[in-house]
Amino acid sequence: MSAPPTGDADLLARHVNGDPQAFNELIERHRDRLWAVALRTLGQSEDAADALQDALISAYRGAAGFRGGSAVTTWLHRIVVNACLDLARRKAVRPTEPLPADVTADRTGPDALADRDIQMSVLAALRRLPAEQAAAVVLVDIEAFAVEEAAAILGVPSGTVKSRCARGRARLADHLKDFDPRRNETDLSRVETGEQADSMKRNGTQP
Amino acid sequence: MSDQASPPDEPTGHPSLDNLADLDEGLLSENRRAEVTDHLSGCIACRERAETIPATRAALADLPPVTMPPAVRNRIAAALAAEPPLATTDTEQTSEPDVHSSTVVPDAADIPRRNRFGRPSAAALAAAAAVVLAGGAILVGHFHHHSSTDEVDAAGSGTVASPDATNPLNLDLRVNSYVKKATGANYNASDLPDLTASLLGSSTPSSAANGATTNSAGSARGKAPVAGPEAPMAGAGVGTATSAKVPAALMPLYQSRQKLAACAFTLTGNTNATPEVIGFGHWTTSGGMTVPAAVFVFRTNTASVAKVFVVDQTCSPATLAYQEVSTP
Repeated sequence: MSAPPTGDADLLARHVNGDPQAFNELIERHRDRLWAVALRTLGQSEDAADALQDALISAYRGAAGFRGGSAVTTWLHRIVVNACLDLARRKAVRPTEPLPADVTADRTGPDALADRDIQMSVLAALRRLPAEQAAAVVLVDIEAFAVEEAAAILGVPSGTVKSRCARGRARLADHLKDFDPRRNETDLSRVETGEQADSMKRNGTQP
Repeated sequence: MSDQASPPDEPTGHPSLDNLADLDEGLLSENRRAEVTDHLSGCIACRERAETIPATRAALADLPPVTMPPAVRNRIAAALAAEPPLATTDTEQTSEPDVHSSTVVPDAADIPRRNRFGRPSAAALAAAAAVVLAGGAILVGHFHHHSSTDEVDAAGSGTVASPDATNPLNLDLRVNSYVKKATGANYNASDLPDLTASLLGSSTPSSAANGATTNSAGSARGKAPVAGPEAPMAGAGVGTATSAKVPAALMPLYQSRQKLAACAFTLTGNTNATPEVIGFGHWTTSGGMTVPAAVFVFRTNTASVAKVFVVDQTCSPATLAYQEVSTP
């Protein structure tokens, strides 16, 4: 129980046993990722800070409730995501203010401007998703959690996570075609000539 | 599966973006997948639309990491600094005196939404008082009194739930009374299956109350018999080890229903999880140390599987052992 690196579960156990520094050390390790999840789920840094603070106090006080059957990070993320979804439900309206500058990092390079545009578009579109879809997309597509772990965090079956991700991506893709000037809008009602129409008839894909 | 959930094709006959996203995620039924794929093979416009889904995923994956702004960091640090170190005295109302309190009881209001203690009323506490039987070796207790006004998970109200984040161990949350037993001699990891079987075999309330036999009573092939009620039980394995005593170091835990409840919550993260039986004895660690230990046996929603935790007298979250045990 000396020198070697301390695991998350050990830190949490020390916190439960009264070590005054252990929780801070634990949060320091995961601070940025937890912030990323809160910020991108709620889309607004003031809300994200409120939710994250509530969540971390809750985790601090309820640390004895960690039962060790999952990773500490799963437990922490669950508390944070629940706090975010609670706040989103209480506020009932998704944010409409312009994105604050801190939600994207500055990049340099030849495509910096285009990249930043796309990033802003993605984040703006994300803010318009229902909070539960946004949370799923944030966990799986942005923070790269495995579907099963995202399911444990969200408290829903894996199939529900996949479904929320699919819905979220579809809405985002739809919004992105409005934002991204490089993407052509396809008016499908006018796709009637040539190859498409013939193959549709051949394949009998009429509804 | 998602055919019902997915909006139908747009009036033009092309698959919707939802369909295409479902295709990308593998959520379409075989028939639907074949239909859509077939359509895509002949429709350039839809192939381009379909491509926007992985492109969106790529854009999401490509977002740069963010760091917590200093202002937020300071604000959270200040809020946490204002919190007292976790208390060592129990904070939940109880009528039991508290002598050696070394387990933490989270305050009900601060537990994340899904796990909320139902606060027992004074009447409920009285009603749930432990039943002492002849011989004194078995005590039946209840952790909670579930009233209709308590906000409990649906899983705790009698329905069998599937595993989810509130019950990832897939525990049978219908169990609402536990039995405490002194287990006698030392046990180690290899003894857990037999120990569990013998603990469970004599744990049913009917057997505790009137000494009725249970089918597992005879299967305790372990080192020492588990203490049973004074009434005789069939089966050679369970003897009359009424001399089995609860180790002194475990007495504070043994005597406190509230500490046992807090321990169950520490182990499972679920306030509705009640162990079927708790054994009190000695445990020999893989390092060769023998320590006083409590063995919490939880039923799961799978009939033949129990989940077993071995903890020290403080119910440290760093458990001594955890096993999934097949039960007879």
